[in-house]
Amino acid sequence: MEKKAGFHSVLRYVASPLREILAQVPEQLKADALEIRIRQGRPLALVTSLGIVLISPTGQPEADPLKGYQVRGQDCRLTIQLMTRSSVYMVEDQLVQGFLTLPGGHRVGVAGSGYVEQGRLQAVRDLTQLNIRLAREVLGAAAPILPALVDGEGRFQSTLVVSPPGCGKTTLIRDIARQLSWGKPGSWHRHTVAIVDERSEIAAVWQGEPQTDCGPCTDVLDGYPKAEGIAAAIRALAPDVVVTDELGTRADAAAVIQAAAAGTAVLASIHGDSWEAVQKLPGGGLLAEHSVFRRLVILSRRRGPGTVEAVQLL
Amino acid sequence: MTGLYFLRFGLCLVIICASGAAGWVFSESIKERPRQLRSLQAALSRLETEISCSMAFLPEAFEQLARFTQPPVNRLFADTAELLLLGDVSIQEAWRQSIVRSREYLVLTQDDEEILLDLGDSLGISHREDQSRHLRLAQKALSRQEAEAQRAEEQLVRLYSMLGWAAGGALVLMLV
Repeated sequence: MEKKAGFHSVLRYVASPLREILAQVPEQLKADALEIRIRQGRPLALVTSLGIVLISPTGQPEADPLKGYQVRGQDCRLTIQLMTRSSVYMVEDQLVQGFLTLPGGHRVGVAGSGYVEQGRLQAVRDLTQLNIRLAREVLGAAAPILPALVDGEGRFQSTLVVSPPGCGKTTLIRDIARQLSWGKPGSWHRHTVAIVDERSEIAAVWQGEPQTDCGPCTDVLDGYPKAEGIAAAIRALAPDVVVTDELGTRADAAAVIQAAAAGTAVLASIHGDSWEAVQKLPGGGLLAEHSVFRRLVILSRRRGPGTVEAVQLL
Repeated sequence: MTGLYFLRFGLCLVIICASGAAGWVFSESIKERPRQLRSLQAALSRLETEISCSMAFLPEAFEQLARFTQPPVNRLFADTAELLLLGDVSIQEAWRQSIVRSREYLVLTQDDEEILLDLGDSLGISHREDQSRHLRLAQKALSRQEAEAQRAEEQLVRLYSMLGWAAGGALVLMLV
């Protein structure tokens, strides 16, 4: 499996004082980093699978929070400008949802001061808390289970990936979509795929182009609400497979049921740790009732993120 | 004798023409400021459209302004776009540097510059409606400056032109 991580590729989007410090971080720590946390008035930090590592002004791990590099307001302001190409207004919808997408598929969680009008969050100001989540595209993550997700004629069967948070469900469905889109002669057809990517997590579209490898026959409906996106995909793009992440509401489930009724296979994920748990969710019960899915993949992080606990036929 | 007469006459003519031309050049520079202020207002109006309708990022929006704004004002936007595209500089800093550089080719007053610098503090850092609001405010302020410049122009252009010729005439009379 090929892992794509990009510590160095995100450095150009952070303010130069931070960039200089992060460039001096030991190589092993760079390789292990999952997140870079930039918070005004607090120490610069990295998150690895082993925990939080504070970074000193010389780029070295530092145990004492007071001796870590204290991020300044101007570091945050310039970083936001570099990330948004000096055009915050272009990403205001994403900011309200709390994230930005960077080239390379990296995602940045952002928080600041909310501006509320008529009870709804309209804008976020003073973006002083940034959490860069480094993209970890694992090409081939789906290879061991994909043969079990197709029928004897190489056609993909509707599959639900059930996983607690942080177990690699997005990575898995992205790779399934990619491999279906490429096809594998003798194993499965080349499928036309439509990814409904409400939170830009699967394809990480940046300025109209997916930043992750989603395959050659894949359309991405970036930022569409799930239900509307699924309906639009079926109506306009005639895909063999519709892919979406984190089903939750009954409206999501209804859209998936409609897609299945139209003869389109569905690949989706949902939070949970078993089929029984999923059926207790508002949307999950509806999905079970309509027998939308033929395959169930249960994930955990027992042996690290992406551990496949079971592939079940429904 | 006749040669000397012609030489003196020629010299007087040159003095009067040079002085008249100097008056004309000075009066033209007075006319130039309202022209530049008008150009800036048109550019800011276009920037508002680029931000709210064309949904352009600021570096590309400034490139567009550089293309469609009349010289020499277009250089202000070209310089800003260039700095932004190089990266690693905030829009505020790029705009400020370009305004400082524009002193070489624009005839703006300190008050005009203040309006542009104030606008720079808000550019790109907020949502679309807020951007439009700031751009409209800047246009209004520039429009007031233009009206004031226009009044000055009406009073001074004729005066400087006349003064140029008159000063030339006076100089000739003194020499003769």
